[in-house]
Amino acid sequence: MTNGSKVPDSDHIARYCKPGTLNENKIPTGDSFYLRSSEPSLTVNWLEFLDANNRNNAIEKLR
Amino acid sequence: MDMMTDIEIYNEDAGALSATLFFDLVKTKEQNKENPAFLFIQNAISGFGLQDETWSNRNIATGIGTEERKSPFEELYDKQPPEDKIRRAIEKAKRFNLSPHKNRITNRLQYLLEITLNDPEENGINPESLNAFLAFMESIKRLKYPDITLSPAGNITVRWRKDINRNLCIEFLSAHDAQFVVFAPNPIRTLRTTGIIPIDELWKVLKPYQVNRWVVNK
Repeated sequence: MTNGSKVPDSDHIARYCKPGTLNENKIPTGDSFYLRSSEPSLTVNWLEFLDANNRNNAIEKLR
Repeated sequence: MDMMTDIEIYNEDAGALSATLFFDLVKTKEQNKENPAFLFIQNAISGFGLQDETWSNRNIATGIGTEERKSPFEELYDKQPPEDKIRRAIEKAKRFNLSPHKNRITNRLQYLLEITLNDPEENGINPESLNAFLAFMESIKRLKYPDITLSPAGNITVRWRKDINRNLCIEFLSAHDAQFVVFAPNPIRTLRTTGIIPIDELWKVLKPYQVNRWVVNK
């Protein structure tokens, strides 16, 4: 996988949202999608690339 | 020339004093030391652990009023770690803030403070932003409780959302400025407006969008 690789429609992406950007119901807000200082553009993770067999493990790797 | 002295001391915020002194500029520090008012202020300041050198050089010998200078207490405040400023602001809000949501707000702020302290990658809460937010919540009567979050820069951001056409978001950028986004219903297309304006003007700018109909409790 490289930057710009196409994610198949059947796959999933996720973005790690810092706790301070979530509202009190743990729902992401606009702050969750602000660019971070290290980001040239909005970044997400390809969950199937992280761990194709276990969704929880893949999510855990985002932290 | 007679010595002219005008002294104001007032409680600026919890536990901190701010002092403004106007001494006759022709008097030297030694001459001012004969002034009981000078001695009183000097003693008060030493109680806060401020160095006499800072006090005398910046505010007496150079003459206050020749240009705007921070008071010794403001300098002392500036030297505090941001975390201490945040804790003090929250404590002050618990005691004095007039917002009907103050308990919920201070609990939320305490939570945000804790998570920023536990995450080395977090910028921490911007104290100026926090104070501006608290003042704003206090200034508008019957504001509904908003979502309160942190921007990546550590600014307090608040949101009220009623539906897809009624959305208000305010990020308190500093003690003076705020960035806002407002969606408001319109017969043809939803109005979407954003801008950066002085916080004092914020409510006036938002008024035409009738946000008070869904951001304020009746």
